[in-house]
Amino acid sequence: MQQSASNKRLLALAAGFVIWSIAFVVLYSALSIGCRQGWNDVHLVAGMSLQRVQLVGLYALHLACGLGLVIALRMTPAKKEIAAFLHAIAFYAAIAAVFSTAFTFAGVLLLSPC
Amino acid sequence: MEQPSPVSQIKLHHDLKAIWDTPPGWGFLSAVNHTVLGRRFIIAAFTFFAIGGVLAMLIRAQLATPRSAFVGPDVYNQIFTMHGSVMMFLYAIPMFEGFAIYLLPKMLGARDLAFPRLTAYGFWCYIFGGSILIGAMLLGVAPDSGWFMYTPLSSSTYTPGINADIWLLGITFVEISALSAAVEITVSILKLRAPGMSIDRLPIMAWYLLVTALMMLFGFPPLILGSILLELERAFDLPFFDPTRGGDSLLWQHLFWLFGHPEVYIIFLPAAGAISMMIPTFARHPLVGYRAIIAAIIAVGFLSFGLWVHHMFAVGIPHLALAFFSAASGLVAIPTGLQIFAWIATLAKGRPRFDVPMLYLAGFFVIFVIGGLTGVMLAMVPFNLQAHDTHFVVAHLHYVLVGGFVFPMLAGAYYWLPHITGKVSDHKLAVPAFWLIFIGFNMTFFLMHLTGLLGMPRRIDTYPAEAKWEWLNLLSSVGSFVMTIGFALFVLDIILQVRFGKAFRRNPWQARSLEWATPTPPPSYAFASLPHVESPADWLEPGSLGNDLAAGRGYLGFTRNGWQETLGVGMTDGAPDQVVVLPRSTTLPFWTGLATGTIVLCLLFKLYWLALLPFAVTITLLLCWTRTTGAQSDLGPLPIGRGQTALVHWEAGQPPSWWAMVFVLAADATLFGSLLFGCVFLAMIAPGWPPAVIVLPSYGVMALAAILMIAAALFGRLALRDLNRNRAPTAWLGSAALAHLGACAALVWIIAVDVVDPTQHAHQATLFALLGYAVLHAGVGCILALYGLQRQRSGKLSPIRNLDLRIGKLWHDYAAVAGLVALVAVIVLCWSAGGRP
Repeated sequence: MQQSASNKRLLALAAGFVIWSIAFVVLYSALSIGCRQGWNDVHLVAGMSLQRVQLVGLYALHLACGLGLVIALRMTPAKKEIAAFLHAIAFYAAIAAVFSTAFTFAGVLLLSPC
Repeated sequence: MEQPSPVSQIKLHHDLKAIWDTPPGWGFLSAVNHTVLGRRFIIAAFTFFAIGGVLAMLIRAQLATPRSAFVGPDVYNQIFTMHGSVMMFLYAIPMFEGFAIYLLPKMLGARDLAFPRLTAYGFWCYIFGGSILIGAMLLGVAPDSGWFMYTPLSSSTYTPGINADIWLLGITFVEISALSAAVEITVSILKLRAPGMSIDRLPIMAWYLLVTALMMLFGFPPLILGSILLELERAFDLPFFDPTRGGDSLLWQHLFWLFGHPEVYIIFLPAAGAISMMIPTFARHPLVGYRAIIAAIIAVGFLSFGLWVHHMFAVGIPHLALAFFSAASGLVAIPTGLQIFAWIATLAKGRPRFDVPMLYLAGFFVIFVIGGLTGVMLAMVPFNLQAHDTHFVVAHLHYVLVGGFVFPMLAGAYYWLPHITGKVSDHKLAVPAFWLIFIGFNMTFFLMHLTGLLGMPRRIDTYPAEAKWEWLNLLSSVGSFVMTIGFALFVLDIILQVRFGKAFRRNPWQARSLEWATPTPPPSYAFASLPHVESPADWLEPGSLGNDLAAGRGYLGFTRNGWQETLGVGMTDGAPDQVVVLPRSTTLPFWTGLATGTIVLCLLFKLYWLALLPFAVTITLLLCWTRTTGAQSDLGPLPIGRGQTALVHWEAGQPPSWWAMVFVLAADATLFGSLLFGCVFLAMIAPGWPPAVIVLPSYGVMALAAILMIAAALFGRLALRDLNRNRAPTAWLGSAALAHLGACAALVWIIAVDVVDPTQHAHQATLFALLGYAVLHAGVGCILALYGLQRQRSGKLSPIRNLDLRIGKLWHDYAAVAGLVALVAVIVLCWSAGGRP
């Protein structure tokens, strides 16, 4: 049982960047589909296009997931030596992944989408 | 259970040698030992490096002067294509594989890697695949479309001969070797370690190799898929990349660079791992920032997959997408920089001493940092568009690859050669060799930044004198010859060390990692007994530990049943949980590699029906591998020394082979995911859609195929359940085989009756590919079910010995899920093309 819990912590090492990877695939796909479907020409509220709204929404969602992971890791510290080791690396990687998500996709806030 | 009695050190050595040694003479074909095969990989990789180097000299001779008539454009195209392909596929990756194969078990405190026959099979695939490429070059029919084989240049319209086929088939053949190594390295690091080596005590090299191997598992499948699709287009006219029939050339670029950019880090990370092992030795201080470095490696591993489009900035992708890739490309410099600062900090905190490996590492620092900085420049879209396809890019990639791989490997060669040979060099040639390589390299490639900024394009075979690139090119060529003299000196130095070097005591550098606890040169069994690791595995006392292990005062300090034994441990806690019995020397991997090579040759010469014969031989030979595995009775816990016991691996819960299947399926799923991406990409982006003829699939037959695939998975599970209840699983296994066979028939029926002609349009071609993927998996599922039956008949299954059925279950489940996804994808693609019922 302990070994199984540790194996899960091993998987947690990648959790932050898995969220970043999903954000990449989702945002790149949404961008391509939106440009293809002409969503940039569909205007919604406050002068924002449907394309911008969906991209910003997805960006915010993935940032929230990443931040959620960081908070969850922060609130569940591990005490035993090996678990603490894996936990620390998972925490560092999750912080790096949130920063990467914020930086990589920040263009959705300002740049012309298509 | 009673522990075996201790034996004398000499007797233990002779007993182990009798079991582990490779037979002499023709027995060299039967080698499966990691020390032997690691050395062979390294030697072969250096040989290919020399061939690639000669090709580079020809390129520089051609470009030394304007309007050169040294070689014509056709030959020049072959030369630069082969130079890139050889260096990337036949030198860099196999070199890292050889390095990992030789060192990894010793660093982990194991006697071998998890799958020695797979190591051997990978080696023969590499040699045969490489030989096909070099043979083609000697015959004047080498690939000539650039090492990235862009379509439509590499399509049959513009490259009608077999040149491109040689690349597609030969490189895919070599990729089998790389994927074998990736599975092997991943499983070995996670499962085959010395007891006590918990995950927080792993040598840093193991973390680097683990991330690298996982990157290979997820990075290579897109290229393999791309090569298969392009070969299908070239051989059978399926228009995946033909824009006149719904294909798109950009799909190839996406698939290629999805592999191609991670490839750069797949090459760099093992070298960085070697640096992280050498610097603490010479700094006489543990590596600073062990945990932060691991987080950085993970970050690099992921981020490197988000950069591929920076090779495609000029192809017309939405600007916002360019921003994603540009940002990720700049971002990857941060975790890479973190590692460099950690190495500098280690040197700053320690008491560094300077020796030859450090000289080469100093060269690495200078060259790699310059390459990294120009990489950040190229990551910026406006600059990239200016420098695109110029010699600036050639300069950048050589600074990164030579700085990030060749210099660390040269340092590693000097550092670990005493381990391989048991001899040391007086280093009289190592220093001038370094300076010649370093000066020659910078002279060759720094000047290419300038020619690139002056507008000199890549891959041109000649240029006019008016272009003003003349003297820069001439100096560049002179520099390349200086560098070659340096490499020649290096080779001479190595030969002299191997032949005339002084025998030396163990561990000449006073390194603290476990590989130095073996005798040097290492015996075939690596460790006479396995250590119990109680502190970080790269800060041990190898001298005293080595003496204890040689005297048999560790785990498995005895022989049993003529078995090649090592220990499997819990992935994280490092507690021993199984005795892994490894296969002994056999020629089966050689013959299997030869049969696989024959398939490649048949496909190359378009003897498609004849290819079925070596294909059947390959499958039969692979099944023959299993004859010596397992047992016909339950053994229960076996003594492993130090008063402990463990189950033999085929009775243990999750042995290496079970994990291997998990990772193989992960790579397989990546290939399938890439195929789905390709299908959606063509349907949404490619010109010429919707197609004139839309496929209306037979929903009844599709439903039948789906039911049969689910049934096969269910029968596989029921067979395992019955076996666990001590009932014969024969009926369920037979049913699973029949269900798979039925699914194959239904899927083939859909291809033959509904898809009809996949050459008409990419719409049909993509459906053909999806259904073909499902057929292939159902076919393999049938073979695995029949294999389960054979194991049952031979008495090798029991409720405890149920591993074969558990591995089979993984495949049956995956085949069902992937098959169902493929069928859903077929329906969605038909509907999206307008083919609603």
